[in-house]
Amino acid sequence: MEGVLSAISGAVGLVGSEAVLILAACGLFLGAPFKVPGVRWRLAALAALGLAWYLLPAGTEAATSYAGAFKSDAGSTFFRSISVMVGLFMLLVSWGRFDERIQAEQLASVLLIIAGLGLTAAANDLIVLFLALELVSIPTYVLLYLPEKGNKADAPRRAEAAMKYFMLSVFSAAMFLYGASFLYGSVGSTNLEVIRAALREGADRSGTAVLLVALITLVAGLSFRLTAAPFHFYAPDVYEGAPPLTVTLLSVAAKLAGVAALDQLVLNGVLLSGLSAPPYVTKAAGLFWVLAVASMLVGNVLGLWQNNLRRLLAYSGIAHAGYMVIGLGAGGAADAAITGPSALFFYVPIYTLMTFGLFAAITLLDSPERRVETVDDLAGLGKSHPVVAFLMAVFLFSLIGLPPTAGFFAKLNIFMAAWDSEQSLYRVLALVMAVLAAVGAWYYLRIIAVMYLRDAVKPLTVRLPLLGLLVLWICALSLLWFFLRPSALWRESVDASRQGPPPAVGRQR
Amino acid sequence: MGKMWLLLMLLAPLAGAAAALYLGDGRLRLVRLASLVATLAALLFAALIVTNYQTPTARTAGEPFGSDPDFAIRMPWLIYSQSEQTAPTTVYLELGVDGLSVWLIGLTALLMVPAVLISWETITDRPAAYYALLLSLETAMLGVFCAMDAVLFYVFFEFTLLPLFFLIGLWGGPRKRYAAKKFFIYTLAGSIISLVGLVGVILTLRDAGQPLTFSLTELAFRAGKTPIDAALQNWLFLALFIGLAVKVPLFPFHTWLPLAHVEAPTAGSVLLAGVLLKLGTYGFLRLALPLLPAACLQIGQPLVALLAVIGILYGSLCALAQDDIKKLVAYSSVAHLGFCMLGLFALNAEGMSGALLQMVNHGLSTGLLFLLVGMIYDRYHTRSMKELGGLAQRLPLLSFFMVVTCLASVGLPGLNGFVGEVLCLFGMYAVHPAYAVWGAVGIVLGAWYLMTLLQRVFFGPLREPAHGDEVVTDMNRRELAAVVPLVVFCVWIGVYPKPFLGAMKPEITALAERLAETARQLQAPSTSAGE
Repeated sequence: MEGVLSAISGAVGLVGSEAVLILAACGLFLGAPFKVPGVRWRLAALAALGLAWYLLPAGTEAATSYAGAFKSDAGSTFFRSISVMVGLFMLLVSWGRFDERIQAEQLASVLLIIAGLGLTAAANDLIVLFLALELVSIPTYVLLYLPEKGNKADAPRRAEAAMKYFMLSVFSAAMFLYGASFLYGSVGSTNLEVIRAALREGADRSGTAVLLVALITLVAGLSFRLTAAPFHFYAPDVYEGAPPLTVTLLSVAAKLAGVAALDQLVLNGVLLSGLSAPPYVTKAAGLFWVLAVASMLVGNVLGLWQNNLRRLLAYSGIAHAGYMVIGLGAGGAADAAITGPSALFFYVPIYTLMTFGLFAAITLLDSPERRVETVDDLAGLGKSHPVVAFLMAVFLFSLIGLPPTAGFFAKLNIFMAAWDSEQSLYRVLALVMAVLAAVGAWYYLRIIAVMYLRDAVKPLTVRLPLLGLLVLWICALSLLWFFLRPSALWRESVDASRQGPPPAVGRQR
Repeated sequence: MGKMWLLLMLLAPLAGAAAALYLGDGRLRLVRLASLVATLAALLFAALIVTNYQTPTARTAGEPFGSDPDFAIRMPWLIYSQSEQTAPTTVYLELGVDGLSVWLIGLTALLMVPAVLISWETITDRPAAYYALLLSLETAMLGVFCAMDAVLFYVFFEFTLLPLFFLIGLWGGPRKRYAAKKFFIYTLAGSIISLVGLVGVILTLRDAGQPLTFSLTELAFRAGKTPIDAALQNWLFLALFIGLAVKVPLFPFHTWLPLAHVEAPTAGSVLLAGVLLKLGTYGFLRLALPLLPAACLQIGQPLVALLAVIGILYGSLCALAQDDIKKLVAYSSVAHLGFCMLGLFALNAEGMSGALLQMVNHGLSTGLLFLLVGMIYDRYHTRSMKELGGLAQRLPLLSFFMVVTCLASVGLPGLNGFVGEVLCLFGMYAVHPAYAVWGAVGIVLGAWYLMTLLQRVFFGPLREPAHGDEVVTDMNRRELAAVVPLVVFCVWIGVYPKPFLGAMKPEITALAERLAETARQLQAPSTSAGE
């Protein structure tokens, strides 16, 4: 009994911030039926997120043991900090925009999603990892269906989006479980560290072909969250039909969950240390190669025909998933200064800032009187809202990858990692990425051109809430700041990608 | 002291931009004044740099570049320290001046003053944003020429797109939106592919035991010590070529240019033609020639020389067919840049120094042409040659400067165009006489279309479009101040080009030596393969 208790308290100690978030969410759910002024729920959520931020382990803390269900190392802290930050941003953007009567439930769902993200990064066990991923998914279904202020009339569209997401999410969860069962079957443990150690010693019972099946199914299941092609089909429809605030969160949360889980399984060497024999390492890299090319192609090319703003940005997300997958596959040579995993970790916060900022800006501009649905709805924004237009231009230029925004270094690092990869095929990938990124630049530029170079028939009149504007400013200034001073973020990314017992992808031979 | 000048030169326009935005559209006079002061300050610092520039005497053997230590600035920017054992791989904010860049820095700072002066009265719509963009463009352009780090070079190179996109798109002519988008996408697509080539060069030029370097000087040094494998060089060259060729622009990649030049506001056209096209040729000179010499000889020379000659002839013929004066000048840029590229890819000292001089010349003379065409447009609101004629009677001063500029552009001996073009053609003649002969045909065509322009618009009976009650006056003092300094330099370079050629000589000689050495190695493959 005592052993169990100490194990639980030890585990909770590792994931204290997530425990706080889940407790707060439970409180919100329980209190929701009572008539309480809405601002109290928001303050409660803010307090929970603040406490979660405070409880995050400091970056310098040494890695804990990898024996239990949770772990705490630089990699997981990196993701957990980003997700709590996303939670704070989300709360500030949504301040007063959720329906007063149901906002307790909605805020609770947001907190659960953030907790799920943190747990995904901190999981050290296949089952915990699965549960954490579901903790992201299930509240998302709720949020997708619940109305927000101003889109009550869209119930059929919301229902369609929620159903679509639900079906495909369940399917991807099944894929993930299927792959995880192979992994468990070949080693006989669900603890990631045990699996890693066993595979490295070649102690699996079933041979590498089974591991390859596990890799493919696991990556397929997680690609759904990453919205990497060919698992992207839901994204444009869901982004278009779902309530705007939810899409704002979903656009970064799902991707963060996918990257964090792939980091656990692929980059930390769980799968690849079993596949380090020459033909398999090439096959694993080849898998990511195909995934990257497909995503970049779909995202950058199909985005050109989109007129709905959120649909367009869904394709943008697919393209960026492609760039991130390059980072997954391009493990650098031993002497490489810029490895794929580090480049990927550098990419993730930058992507989060620019995508969240852009979606938040569109959401805040949207009002029942004057919808912002299509690209053309933004016409004349440069004149009617010069500040918001400027901030959006920063996000868009960053998505293109132009200086002076951090998006430039994010792309540059991916280029360098791809070129420096041991797989010479990845040099071709760098070129493919360059060509397709240039294609995709067109649709980002279209938005900028509409904002600045066209005049509105009916100008936007909405006044942006102060807190929302604050988030936009933080996102944009961070992007400019990380362009001017990228070294600190890079150091964090290197530490994060290096943590977990080595070796990472490329460093084993 | 020199370092301070360099920094102040780069920061003065930014300070001006901030001041313009702070003052806002309501205080137009102050905004214009602040912009003028900022450009004059930048010009002052640029002049100090140009006059105090000294070729570094202590130069490591085999190192083609080494900026004047008086002006060299180096600060870490992005530290890629992967392992603690080796020295960190670092992207530096490395700025400097050498013989290749010193005159282009001067040219940029010089052209900015007329660019502000010509916008003085024509820009009344959102002037604060306009001047802020114009001034940030100046910093970006100066930055490209001062950058001594590959990443920094690329950053400035790319950043020039943003202000220009808005300058063309917001203050341009009737088809401004299309022109702005086409310009942006064309150049962006090209330069992203170039970035892959650049990354490839950086990551291939490793030195055992040393960290990766991003410094252009160091990269050039390594390229001399252990050249990149010739086959890989060709691919890297092609990647670099695409982006730079769009920027120059070389023949099949030029279609954005006439559109962008015609639609841009006058100041935009002046800077596009005067400075931004040089970013392409300068990129070839700074990146392709020293880092990928074998590829320049193997595929660069035949490819570029052919495209350049086609560009010269095609650009000239197109210019001949235009009715819009601005379009004529725009197409003449395609032809003149062809001369630059022809000289550059002669890959010998005469050709390269001619090309570099021609870059400055073209900046001066085409900048002047766009300024003068802009002044005509301000007066008559048309640029059609059909509607104009005999303007020499109405506008004697403007006509005088137009004649001088056209003669400079044609290459009349005694004016600047002659020196550059002759050197370019001499250089090419030594390698491929046929290309030089075809290029010379382009000079004749150039004389034809510019003389046609002069004859139709400025001489003969006076023909003006109806301009209401407005009294058309000759150039005022502000316009004279914009034009005269440039004309002075046109004459100076034409009469006494020695100081201009002298400053660039060491770098050009070193480059030419490296290329000659590479050529020798390529011709004797058995010996080089044995190494």
